Amino acid sequence: MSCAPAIRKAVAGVMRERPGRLIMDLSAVSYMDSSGIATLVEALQQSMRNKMKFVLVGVTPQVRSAFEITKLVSMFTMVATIDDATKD
Amino acid sequence: MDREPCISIRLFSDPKLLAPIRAFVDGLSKCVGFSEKSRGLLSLAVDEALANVIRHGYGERSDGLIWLNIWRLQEPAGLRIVLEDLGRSVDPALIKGRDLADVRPGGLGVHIIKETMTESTWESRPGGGMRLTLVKLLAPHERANPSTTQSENCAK
Repeated sequence: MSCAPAIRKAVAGVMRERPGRLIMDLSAVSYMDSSGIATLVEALQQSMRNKMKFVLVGVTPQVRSAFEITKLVSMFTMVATIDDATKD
Repeated sequence: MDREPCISIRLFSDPKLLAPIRAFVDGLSKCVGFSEKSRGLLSLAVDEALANVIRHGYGERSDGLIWLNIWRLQEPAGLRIVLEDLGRSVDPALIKGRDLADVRPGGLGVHIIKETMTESTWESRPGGGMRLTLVKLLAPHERANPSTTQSENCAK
């Protein structure tokens, strides 16, 4: 709840640079609530509009459970490492 | 079920309290015998419920009052958690999760609560505010394989 605005702002800043791929490392994120998931859904939608790839790295079990319960897990590309995320 | 809750907490509508309440719910649900995954989801549901009170009930004011009362259920085993507040009251019929086929942010909190809990009931509170009753029962595999050590460590 408290981190979502800062993440949204950071993502908006990166989007303005129009990279080909946005990689978000979540390996240090042990907990995510619905506002965090909503922020990532927004980022996914922005990346799709900008024809960018959006990849989540190192999703922890708790965070994955939150994605699963909202039935959004299949919407996102999730990989284990940054190296995996940079591969096509 | 006992008439009196086994635990009563009064807290302010301060988002900084969400993390310690999550930790408390996780510890309590471990005592009852919930699996690690169930504990994470139960903590998430309570967190979402409190966040909704803070955001919608109190308009993100941090000085609103919230009461958290918890009963340990025996037959069948589980937890009953009642959250009450004095914030803005809404028609319980209007509290809905969103259609998950419609991929967009927003409305996820109520969906998480409904999916996670065995029962979830919103009602207007006599005297103002809202009351949310959450019940989570142990799943069959959790009843069959209780975390005995943890249960023994919990006060009856």
